[in-house]
Formats: sequence, C-alpha cells, structure tokens
Amino acid sequence: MLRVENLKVHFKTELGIVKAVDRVSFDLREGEKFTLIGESGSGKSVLAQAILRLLPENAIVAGKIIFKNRNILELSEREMRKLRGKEIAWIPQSQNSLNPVLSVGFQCAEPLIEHFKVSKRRAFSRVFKIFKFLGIESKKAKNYPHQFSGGMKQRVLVAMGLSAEPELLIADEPTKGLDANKIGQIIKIFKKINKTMLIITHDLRFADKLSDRVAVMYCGEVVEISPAKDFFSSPLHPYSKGLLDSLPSRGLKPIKGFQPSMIDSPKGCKFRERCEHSIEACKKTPPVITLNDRLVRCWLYAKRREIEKNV
Amino acid sequence: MLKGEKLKKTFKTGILRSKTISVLNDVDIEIREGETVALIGESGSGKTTLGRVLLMLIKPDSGRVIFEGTDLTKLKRKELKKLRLKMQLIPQNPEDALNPRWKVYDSIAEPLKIHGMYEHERVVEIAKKVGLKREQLSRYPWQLSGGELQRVVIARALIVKPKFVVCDEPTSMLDLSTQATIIRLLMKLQKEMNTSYLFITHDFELAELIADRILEINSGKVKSKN
Repeated sequence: MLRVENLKVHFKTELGIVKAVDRVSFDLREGEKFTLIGESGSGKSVLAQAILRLLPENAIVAGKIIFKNRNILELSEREMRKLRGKEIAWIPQSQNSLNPVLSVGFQCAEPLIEHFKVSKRRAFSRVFKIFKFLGIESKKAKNYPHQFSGGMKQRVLVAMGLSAEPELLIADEPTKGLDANKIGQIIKIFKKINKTMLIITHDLRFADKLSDRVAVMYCGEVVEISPAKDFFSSPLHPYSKGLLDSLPSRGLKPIKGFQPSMIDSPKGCKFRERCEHSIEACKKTPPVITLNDRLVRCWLYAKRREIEKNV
Repeated sequence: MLKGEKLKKTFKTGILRSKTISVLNDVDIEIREGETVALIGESGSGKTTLGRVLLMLIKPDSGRVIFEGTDLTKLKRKELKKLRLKMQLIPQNPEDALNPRWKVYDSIAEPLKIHGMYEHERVVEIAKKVGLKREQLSRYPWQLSGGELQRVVIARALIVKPKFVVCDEPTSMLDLSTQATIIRLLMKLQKEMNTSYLFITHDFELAELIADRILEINSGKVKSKN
C-alpha cells in the first residue's frame, strides 16, 4: 500500500548535516497496524512527517515514497493538499494541535468541508457518527478544546484524522502524557479502527498490545522489522533486546552509553559502541538480512548465515 | 518517620472561584525509615498534591504532617526552612524546575548556599555520584539532554543528604533505557544514604518492581494495594 524506498532526510544546520533518517526502507500492508518504535531523537517523527511532506524547508529529502503507484515526493503542493487528510491523515502528537478558538466539532468537520465540499450540516452529522464510534458525546461537539481532558483531546484528534475516511492513518505518539488507564482506552479505539495505520511510539507496552508488525529505529536507521509477536518474544537486533530489557517487567536493565549524535554518528553500525556483541565487522556498514518475514540490520546474522551455508 | 494524619485539601476553581474540588479527603499515610513507598493513581487523582502536602510545599486545609516527632503544620516558615535539609523533592519535569539562566553547577549548589553550608567539594562529589561529567557542570540546562537534566535535579535534591525524598514521576518524560538508568541510580543512592522515598508514578509494573509497599490514591482516599 505504501512503500518507502531508501529514504533519506537530512537537515543542514550550523553544526553540520543531521542525518535524521538514513537509508530507510519498509512497506505497509493493507489493513495492518505498523508501529515505529524508537527513543526520542531516533528520527521516527521526521520519517512520518516526510511521508506527508510536512518537513521544514531546510530538509533535504531523497529516495522514494510510493503510495498507490505515485511517488509522494514528486507530487505538486496542490496534489499534496488533496492527499493530506483525504487519503493519508495525520494524528498529531501534541494535544495542543487543536485550535483553541474553534469548536472541536468544527475542527473535525473541516476536512470533510474542505475535501468533499459538503454542507456544514452534512459534515457535522458525519462527525457525530465518528464521535459516537469513539465514545465522545455528540453534544460535546460545540465545546472548545480547553473543556476537554487529555484523553478526550486525544480522541478528538483521532476523530479529526478519521473524518475524511483516509486509507492510511499516521498517529504520532498517541499515548504521550496519558496514564495507563487512558492508554488502555486508546488501544481499544485503535483496535476498532479498521484501517491501515502507521503508529509512532516509544511506549513498548502500547506497541505490544496493538501492532501487527514493528519496526525499530535507532539513530535514523531502521534496525529491525518483525511481526509484533516475534519481536516481543525474541527480538533480533541487540538494540531491540536492550530496549525490551529496560522494561520494568523484564528487569529494568538499561543499555549502557548514549545514543550517538546524528551529526557525526559512528561509521558502520551505529549501535556498535553500546553493543555487547560487537565484532570487528561492525566497523563496516551492516547488511540488511532477511529471515523469513523479518528484517534485521546487523552483522551477527550475516556471519551466522555464512556459517550455516558452509555446514 | 513521616506521618500524615487526616489530611484534607480542597482547591477552588472556575470563574469567581465558585467550584470546590476536594483533592485529599482524610488521607492517612505513613512512611518508615529507609523504605520506598510507591504512590500510584490516575492523572488528576491528587498524587502530586499529596507529595507536596507531605513536604509542606502546599498547606493542607486540615490534618497534621508529623516528621520525626514534629508537627510540620504548626511550624513557622523559618523553622520549616531548616527542616528542608531533611526533606526534598525530585520534580517531574526537570526542564521547568531548573533556572535557565543558571549554570548546572549553581543549581546543584543552591540548597547548600541557602543553608549557608556551601562547599565546592560536596557539589563535585554529588555530581560524580549521579554520573554527571565535570564539564557538564558548567553548561546551561538547554545544553543537556532529558536524562542528564534528571540527574541534575536528583543531585540538587540529594546534596543535602535528606532523610525523605518525594520523587514525583521522575522518569515519566524519559526514554525507556534512560528511565531504567535513572531508577537504578535512585535505588543505589537510597541504599548509600538510607533515604526514604515516596515514589509517585502511574506505572504499576515499575511500582511493583521498586517499592516495599504500594499505595493507590483514588477520589481523595489512599488505600494500600498488594
């Protein structure tokens, strides 16, 4: 449905070139919930913004993003406007993304009025349906964002994303700032939504309960893509393992060291200096290894495969 | 060591301050020496308010806070200030808790300066303990990452060797791996200094892992949870 090929997003800054997204490839399958996991500063939000072309002007973008046989990166701004909200919708990270001086109902109806040129009345009746689906009372539609709690605002943002019936929904950190209870509600809502979704999060427990497949980003690169079930039971990449082990339920073991800067990140494997298994080969750029339906960017598996071949 | 008895706190909200919200309703709580008590609850349930009331950063409407035999609610400001050497807060959001115009060193040294016991060696020693590098001390908050800032506020709270510390969701803004590092650090320092922690969090799994006891706050009441 959506295919990202060798995508690079670099930013020119005074200090040098920031490689926020580097050589990223993956594909989204129809109807799946695909989660992008990574720590802050790993480039996951930038990647999502690149798909909707919402990046600031100093971004240098290369590669391909194919959506329904069109390369998004080659579309004109006018075509992009038609696509945003209608075909690919964005659920922004911050609940402050709501306009404080417009009623939430109108903000959810706006994409419909904009894209389908329907009357305000018809747009609102559709919004009420979505509100009902998400568990928001329809009389709340004329309320303003400040009258809502964090969890309710998050639902309004989801309603806004859903209103024009997009084929793909991108949700950026939908659980940020919410407590365990509210996260549970968001999981329920997301499970009910029968659409292809790209979810960006650093909340592993949330990803575990929700996703079909998981991609792990580290320092601008995708280091592993696995079905969620396999990922949480047996992660492949050493970084994935480290992340999972730092969960309280798995021993609260931190990964040593720090994420390197994206300006002069280490050559070869970027996780090398923090990795327990690092070998001589890790100084060279690691290959992407395919294991059944899983992908991992790590030398360990290349070596293992060679050994298997020789046997 | 620390006891809260029949604590009540209400806030007035709305235009004209006409609505009253009861946040704490006859809360009894006890924290013994050297133990970690986790306080869990939904957002808006009053976790932070209770933590601050126990430190007398917010005055309760009624009830008593007894710390090592003294009733804190009866103390004057000056007397309370002296006791601040023994009780400290690690705030939720270190970015907001540090003065942006001060170097990290000055923020860490501030509690000592306030109490007229400033020693350069103590600042360096605590910075080392929390894992801050020497050169980071002369930086400004915006030059440090979230995890590093969290170390700074931990250093500032622990520099006076307090007996009781309220940790108000100290890791909720951090990445998973950094979260594990900071919690390990807090646990290590607790052993060294024999401090009691009231650990406020909404992460039940985390509470289970680190706490001796878990308390849950819900509609103004505190109940113990196994």
